[in-house]
Amino acid sequence: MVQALILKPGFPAADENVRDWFLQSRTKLEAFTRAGAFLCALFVAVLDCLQHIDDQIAGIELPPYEDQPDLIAAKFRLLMTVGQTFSQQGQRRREFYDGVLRIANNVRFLDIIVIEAIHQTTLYQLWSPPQPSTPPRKPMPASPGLSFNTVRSADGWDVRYDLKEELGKLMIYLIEGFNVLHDYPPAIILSFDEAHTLTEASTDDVDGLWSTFSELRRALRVIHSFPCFSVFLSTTGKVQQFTPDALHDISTRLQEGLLSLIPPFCELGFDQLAEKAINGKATLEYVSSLSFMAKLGRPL
Amino acid sequence: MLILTLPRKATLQSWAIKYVGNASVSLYEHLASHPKDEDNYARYTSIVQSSGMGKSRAVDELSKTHLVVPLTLRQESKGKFLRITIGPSSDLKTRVSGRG
Repeated sequence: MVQALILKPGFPAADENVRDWFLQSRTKLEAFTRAGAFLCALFVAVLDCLQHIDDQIAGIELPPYEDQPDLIAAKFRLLMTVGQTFSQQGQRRREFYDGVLRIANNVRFLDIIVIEAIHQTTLYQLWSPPQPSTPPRKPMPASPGLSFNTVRSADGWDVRYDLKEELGKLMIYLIEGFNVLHDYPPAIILSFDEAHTLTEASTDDVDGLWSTFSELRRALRVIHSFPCFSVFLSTTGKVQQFTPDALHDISTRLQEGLLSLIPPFCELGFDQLAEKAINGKATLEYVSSLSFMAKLGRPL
Repeated sequence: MLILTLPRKATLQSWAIKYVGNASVSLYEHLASHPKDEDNYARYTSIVQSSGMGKSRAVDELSKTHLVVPLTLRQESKGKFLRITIGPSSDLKTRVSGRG
């Protein structure tokens, strides 16, 4: 028997510039501004990329095991995965996120206006309505908004970047006849892999406890009416980092039960690659062999 | 004390072979099962599992049929080494490559 240290390189490789950009925030407001600016920039860049996707992937040599992509989603995936190695993402993906961060850096230094949700609970408690025969529906918080470079002009408010508008343009491109009042299946999914790096908590003298994740989540709240979903993947984190029980959540609206969280996904399963041990045919020697046991448990 | 590097080739190959299971479909159904009129704070979910469970692969598989924007935020400096006790070197090779 030998003691050994195994070097654990990660795959897929990190989008280092994006990670570092998110983790620079020193205050809660800066973290929220960065999150909103990043999402604005991302939706602008994704729309531009999809509008020129065939030009973008022209000349890419496909790996021998992959078919030519037909769907726009598969074409975008090709752009995001081509040339990726253990040490770094492919050049196309790095260029894409360089472009996103260029826009985001421009956006985040613009004036910001946040239309926060109005907390109705206090008003409701002060009013003290008579006991109804059936419990009233809980009061819904208003939908927040997030805009950058909002300037008052003679014609009213001039907004240069509005998070909902940027996502709306992308949705109109993806879904024919898109109407934000309707419900649609997920049209775009943001996947934040190894997202526990965003969950380190900080305490702000003014705003109290916050993390990069909590502020990103607040920015995602702005677009909760759109068919845009996010998935936070984590290896070393805890489920509570992303989906805490209501009493321990930073959000007051979650603590008071006005809002809830979508439960975590846990159906990855085990033994996907396992060989079937057929009763009467599989011997004890066979099922205890390394070749059989190596295919049990985790798939990778 | 030995310092070993897990075979990167095996991991890369595992991403190239045909996907087994329906976790990617289940993930999409999980997201789609929460319509906008629910009182959700935001439309997000999480997958928290050990390394090697296939989280990233499930999302990659999903991205072949649905638009997924992938971001990997790994900090390479944390959790870089895994301490293990192993038997003969041939055992390690079998365990890592999955071949008998």
